[in-house]
Amino acid sequence: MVFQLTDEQAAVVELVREFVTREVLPVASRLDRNERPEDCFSWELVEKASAAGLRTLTLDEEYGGSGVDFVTTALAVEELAKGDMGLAVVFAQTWKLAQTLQLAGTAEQRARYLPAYAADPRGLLAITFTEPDTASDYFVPHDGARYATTAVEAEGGWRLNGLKHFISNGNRASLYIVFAQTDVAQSLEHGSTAFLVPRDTPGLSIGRVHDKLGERLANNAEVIFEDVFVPDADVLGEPGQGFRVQQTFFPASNAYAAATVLGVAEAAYDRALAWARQRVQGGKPIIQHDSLASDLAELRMWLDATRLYVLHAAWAGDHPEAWDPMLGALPKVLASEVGWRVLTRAMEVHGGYGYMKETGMEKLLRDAAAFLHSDGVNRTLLLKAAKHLR
Amino acid sequence: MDATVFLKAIPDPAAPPESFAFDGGCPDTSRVPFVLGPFEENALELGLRIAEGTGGSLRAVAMGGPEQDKSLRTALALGATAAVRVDGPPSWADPVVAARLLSAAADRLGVVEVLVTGRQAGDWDRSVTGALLAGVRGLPYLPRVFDAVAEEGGLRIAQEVAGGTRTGLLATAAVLSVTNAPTTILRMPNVRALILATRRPIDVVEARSLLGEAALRERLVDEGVSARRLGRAGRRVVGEPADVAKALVAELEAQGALPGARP
Ligand SMILES: Cc1cc2nc3c(=O)[nH]c(=O)nc-3n(C[C@H](O)[C@H](O)[C@H](O)COP(=O)(O)OP(=O)(O)OC[C@H]3O[C@@H](n4cnc5c(N)ncnc54)[C@H](O)[C@@H]3O)c2cc1C
Repeated sequence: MVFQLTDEQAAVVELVREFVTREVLPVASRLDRNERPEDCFSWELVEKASAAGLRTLTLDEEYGGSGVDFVTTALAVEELAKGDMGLAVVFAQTWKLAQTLQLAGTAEQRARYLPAYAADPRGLLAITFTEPDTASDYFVPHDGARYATTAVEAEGGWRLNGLKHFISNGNRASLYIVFAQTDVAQSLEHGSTAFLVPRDTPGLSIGRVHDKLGERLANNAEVIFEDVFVPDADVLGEPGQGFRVQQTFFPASNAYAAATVLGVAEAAYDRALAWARQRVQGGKPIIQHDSLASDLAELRMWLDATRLYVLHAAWAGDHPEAWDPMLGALPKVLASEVGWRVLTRAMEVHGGYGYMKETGMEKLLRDAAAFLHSDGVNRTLLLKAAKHLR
Repeated sequence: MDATVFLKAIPDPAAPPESFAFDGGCPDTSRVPFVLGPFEENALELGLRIAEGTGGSLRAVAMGGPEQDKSLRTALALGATAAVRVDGPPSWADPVVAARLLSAAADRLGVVEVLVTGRQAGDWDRSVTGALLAGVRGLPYLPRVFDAVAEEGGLRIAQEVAGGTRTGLLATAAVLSVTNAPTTILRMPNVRALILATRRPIDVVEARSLLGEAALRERLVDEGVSARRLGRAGRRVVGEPADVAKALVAELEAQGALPGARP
């Protein structure tokens, strides 16, 4: 077992770190403070990331990307999230879905969509499962669970109708993976289908952009389908196999979500450590007080253990022979619980300063809260994992 | 114009104190990440612009252990066509010896027209290598350069000088020592180019194969001696730059601190 980054992984991490230092940190808290959620999003950052080759990090080399594996992607997500969680989500979604398209798309679909995604400096991707009334149900499906969004067979394709919400990059993506009910007699586990739907398809529109507590540099929005025609050529996987697509072709999705919140927690820990070294109370830097130092050591322990778990999950995604379905559910649960713990304790290390906006801790706290819910509510993910125990 | 840039990676100035180990002597930097020195970043950017502006190429040279390779790979990712690292010179190598090694390494990479260095190394801040390289190669030395633009007949060079700036046309081979300025902030490499650069070999050449064991051990510039021999803190030399230079050389010769002049 080698617990060491390869030269390539180290190079990617360093480049992302440099991008964060140069481009993200100088603007993130200003963007976060904007009142309208749309104004928190920055095309300029997306275009700069494109210029640095970051947007297409996971796109295969034959399409002009870097084709990095799941571990390297998780490392990049974590590093980006140290700068800003919202931006990390914008790219984690895009990186993950480019990988999914490469795994699940036919050669014809790849040839049609991937070069266009590579060429567009604003090319982002989004995935739409969640609906107002069908949400945790797609994590823990039951017989009565159906997507309200339907796709009905039509001449040469399908007609989609419905509304998805909470969708990351919902109002920004140029291409969506959409899950819809194609057989209403079956549960979504057996009667749903995944479709590729370009943004400019007639009948597709954007509804509300959600105003969020944190993770504000990413936009989440409603995506509305009104008689949207999708040709047969844009079915991803087989009709009726949507749930299988969801189960099979997103092996590292949970690890990326975990890496995102881990990055935020690490940023908070680093700040708490720096603060403890320079803040003097009780006649000495507060880190010299045993109880506080041991608190920080405990946080380091949680972070290190979580990081290993997350990277193990990403590595198992790269090595299907080592895959354990638990790794598709649990790392995000651990990372978000640890993240929340680290954030609250790191804030406490700052004393009252931590509560003041000036130290930036409150932004990190608001950001970290997103992943208690995003990518599946933790309880639901535990239920999903528990199924494999029975 | 073909340019060669000299890069030195240094212990990361932003590394937290606990990553340095002290045992009373020199700090142990083995746990400290190395980064390209800040002035070398400027030098690399200017080197790239010279190569791009003149339709020439850029090569990169470093000296030291494998901790230097990352900087060379950055140069390769940004467009340098070749990179060489001089391995194994003693850490106490005389600055003139170091300049000779760098010069010999540059020759390995092909025709050398413009040699570009940072103003000073970010760790020792001695600011001697550029001038010594010029001396070794018998080329003009242009300090504190902050811009270089290709134009008919050569390169339009902008330099910081006492009290302001000046520009001039460079039409010959020369050594440029690059200062830090907003005009020479190093661009970011593309991640794909960086990944490809990690797969490219770095030409590693043994210092002793370039100069020979005896030459490596030569000590020509005795830096530590002047204040001690003077018996006073130092001497401030003022006047016209040319006169000041002459006076300084005379002083150093008198102290036996220059090649061939032992008191
Ligand atoms: C920031 C953010 C980004 C998101 N991005 C996307 C995206 O890009 N695409 C997308 O499709 N969705 C996205 N989502 C949606 C996200 O995946 C859902 O929020 C999540 O699946 C839960 O749905 P819900 O919020 O409606 O909660 P609900 O499903 O209503 O759950 C409410 C509570 O009930 C519990 N619960 C639910 N079912 C059960 C059960 N069977 N047994 C026991 N307890 C249960 C849950 O654990 C939770 O505590 C995003 C959400 C957020 C917050």
